[in-house]
Amino acid sequence: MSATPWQIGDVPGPKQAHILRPEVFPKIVKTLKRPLIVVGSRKEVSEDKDIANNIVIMAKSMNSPLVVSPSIFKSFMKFKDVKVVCMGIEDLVNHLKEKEWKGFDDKGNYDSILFVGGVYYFQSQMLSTLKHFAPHLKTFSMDRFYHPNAEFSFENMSEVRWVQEFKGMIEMIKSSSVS
Amino acid sequence: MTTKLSIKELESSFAKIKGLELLIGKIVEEEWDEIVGPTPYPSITDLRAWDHRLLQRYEPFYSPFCDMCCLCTFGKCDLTKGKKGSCGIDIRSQQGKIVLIACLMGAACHATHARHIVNYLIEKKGRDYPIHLGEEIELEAPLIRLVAGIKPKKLGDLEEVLDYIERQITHLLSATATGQEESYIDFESKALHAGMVDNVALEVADIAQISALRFPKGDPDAPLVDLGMGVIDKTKPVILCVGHNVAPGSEIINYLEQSGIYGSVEVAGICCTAHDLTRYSTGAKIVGPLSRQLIFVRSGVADVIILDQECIRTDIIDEAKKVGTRVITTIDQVCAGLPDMTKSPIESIIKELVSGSFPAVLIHDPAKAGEVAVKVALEIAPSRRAKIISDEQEVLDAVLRCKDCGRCRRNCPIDLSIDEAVYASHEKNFGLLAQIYDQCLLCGRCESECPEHIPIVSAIRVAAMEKIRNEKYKVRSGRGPIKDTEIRKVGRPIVMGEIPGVIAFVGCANYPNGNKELVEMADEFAKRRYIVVASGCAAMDIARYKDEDGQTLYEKYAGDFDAGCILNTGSCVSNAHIIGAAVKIANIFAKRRLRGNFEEIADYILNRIGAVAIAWGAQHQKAASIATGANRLGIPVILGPQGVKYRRAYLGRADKKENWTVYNVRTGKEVYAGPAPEHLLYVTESKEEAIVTAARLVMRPNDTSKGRMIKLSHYIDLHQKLYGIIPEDLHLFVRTEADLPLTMKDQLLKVLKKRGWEPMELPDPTLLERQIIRRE
Repeated sequence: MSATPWQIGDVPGPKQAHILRPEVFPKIVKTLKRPLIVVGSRKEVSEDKDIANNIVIMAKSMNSPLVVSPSIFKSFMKFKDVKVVCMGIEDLVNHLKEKEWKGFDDKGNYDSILFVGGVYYFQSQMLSTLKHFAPHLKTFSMDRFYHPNAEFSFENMSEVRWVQEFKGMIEMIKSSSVS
Repeated sequence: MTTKLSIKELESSFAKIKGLELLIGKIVEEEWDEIVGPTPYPSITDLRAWDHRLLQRYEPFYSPFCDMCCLCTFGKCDLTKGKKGSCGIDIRSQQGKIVLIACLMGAACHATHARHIVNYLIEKKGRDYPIHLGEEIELEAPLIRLVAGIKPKKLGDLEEVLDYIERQITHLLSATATGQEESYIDFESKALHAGMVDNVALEVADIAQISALRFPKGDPDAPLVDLGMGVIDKTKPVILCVGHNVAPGSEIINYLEQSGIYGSVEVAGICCTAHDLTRYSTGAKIVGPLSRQLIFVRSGVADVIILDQECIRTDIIDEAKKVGTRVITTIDQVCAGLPDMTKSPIESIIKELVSGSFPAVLIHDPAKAGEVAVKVALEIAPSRRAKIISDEQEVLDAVLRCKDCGRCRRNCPIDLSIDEAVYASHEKNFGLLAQIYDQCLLCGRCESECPEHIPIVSAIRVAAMEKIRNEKYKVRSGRGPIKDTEIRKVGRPIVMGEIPGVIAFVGCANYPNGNKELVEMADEFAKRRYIVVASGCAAMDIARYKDEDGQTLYEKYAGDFDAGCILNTGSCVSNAHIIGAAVKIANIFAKRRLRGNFEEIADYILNRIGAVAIAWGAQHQKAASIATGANRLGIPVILGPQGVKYRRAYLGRADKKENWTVYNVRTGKEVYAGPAPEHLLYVTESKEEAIVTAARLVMRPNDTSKGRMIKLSHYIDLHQKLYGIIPEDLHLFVRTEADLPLTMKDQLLKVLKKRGWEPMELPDPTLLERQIIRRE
């Protein structure tokens, strides 16, 4: 299966992301032992309360901390029942690429990084760093843009469809985590 | 530079020579009694140990743009999953190589610019024309003194420095060929070397033109000049200069003055040549930064365009032809496939250009190009203007072709919602397009992708016409260097940390959300009494916004190098004075020797001078080389999100305590000094992150407690204001309780206690073992 990068020229080379179907992701979630969700600075994500709420629900269901890009941290600091860390994304990625990093709980590095809400071209480059220098990590792009530098990425989709799919996916993750 | 010829013994039919030694070269009149340091004219490996020390702490962080190496015929080589290319290179070293090539492109641009301007000025004024930057500037060339180890007195002295720079660039470039350098760390060391020679080239170019073209000489009250697309008087013939080399533009002004018609023709510029035109004559005008190029050329306002070098759109001649604007290229770097008319008689060149049989020509003679430009503009302006038909209706008709495919957005470098804005125009709603204008880079990539060939940039121009007409701003003309007297005044409070820092806004106009964020950042730091400096396109864009009182920041703040001021040093090459100010502090305030003494000065700056640059819209390779040169001197640089495409950052790891030790000069002990500055080159995703990061990166191990208290107050306050919380890393920057802001002391002590904080030593810091003066 192939897809074209959201930014048409963002073609990295022979290794491009597998397309991730929202309905399949809840099954994958069960295989992730130490996930980390990274929320970028795109205002469309932080300013939409539903999306922000859904991201937090996802984090809780997956037992994942949230790392939030500093400019949108204020939108997330009110959520008390999930660990929210305010950190520059480049700084974070620099830590993640070290296999032996202890993580935010001193229990070691994470095994899977889920990106959402990043500025497209910035996030693409962060994913590229992890693709090349962090073979110990699986990377997922949960945005509505196909990110070829991730290991798994949603395909390009409209905002309306993405909001629907994302919500549906969260429901599935939530219910499967409860069961 | 001298060559030694020795003949021990020679016997021939015409002579018998024994023990002859000849020295061939330049006789240098030595009047500078400063002791020469260890590295005058350093080779590409002389400062390698310093580089490795820096890179051990600030490791290169790569974000490859491409998975492959395509640089030789072995390729393309897939470098993913740890694979090596046919030559043995891996992705890390390949990235180091690409970064070095980018820095060399930048350094080569500045070196050729400097060579062109020095040659031009020597031809006009002679080799003995003095380098003189005004009565209050004795330290005229801090970077040349530091790197080359000479004190240039005349224009001719700069040729020797340029010879050195050009040699270094050649050596460095050869290291990028297949089968040469292999280590990413050494590629980075070489990139740092390229950056350093780049910075010297900047200084060569600017001190030459300041001296010989009588630009402002460190004048804090340099005149306010006009900036904006709305300031151009369209009733007059208009000549537009684009690029960086002021020689042809200055000759236009010379010719107009000699002819007694200066004022009846508009002379305007885009990009750095515009800065330098206004430094040459306050009658010149600045259209704007490089991002204004396409939209302004398309407006058809310019009758003649003069191109010199760097940052010129490669389609500018085609665009100019469409609106009947004539083009003259003037520098050998930009020949553009045009006929070379340098040696043709002036009247015949004018005839060809006016008739349009050659609408664009190449003239490698600034004075001739200047005269031709004026005469052609005067001749064609009246008839050409009459023929320019308003394209508004055509543009409005074109947007109706939009099928909302979205490809324009997907080809936009900053992911603007152009698709929505264009499609909304179907309903005669041009408001969204006008809004896009405020953020748009105006690069035209959306148009190239549009299957309906809609001229989107033109549509944005029509939609934003009212805004464009009202673009009338004031910018302070580039003042050039910082005066020695200013350094004497602020040196101590900067080194002690009592002035919280020097924040330099530099670089291009490749912003993620328009220039307003840049203005907000500059205003924030000036209000807080940091010293704010600016150069290049960033200096222009700081002016492109008025507050509620109708003032730009240059009208609101004084232009001194002092707390709470905002100054414009000038064009890209004036970045030398920003970097040079840090070097001057080390010399003038701290009495450190400069001459060939790079490591010691870099060590001083890294540990003691809280200067940080923000290149919010960095785009060109020149910005990469300038930043890398600043990094070698210990000055951190923060990039906006587009800067991630440079593919390399230099990042520290605050959590690795062992990386943050320094020697205490007074005891010889190696002590932990905290992660200050934490990064050397860091990419931020948002304006808020850039502001807070800058407030963090100005901290230095040498800060006094009072100084650290002031720096921490701003850091904590900004962190709370923009992120909503007290910094998580606060404990890393508090050395003793005396560092804590008094009004928050109790609250912060509680926070520190929770984080297991312990007081630390305040060393007299250095990274260089040889700087230790006493061992305990």
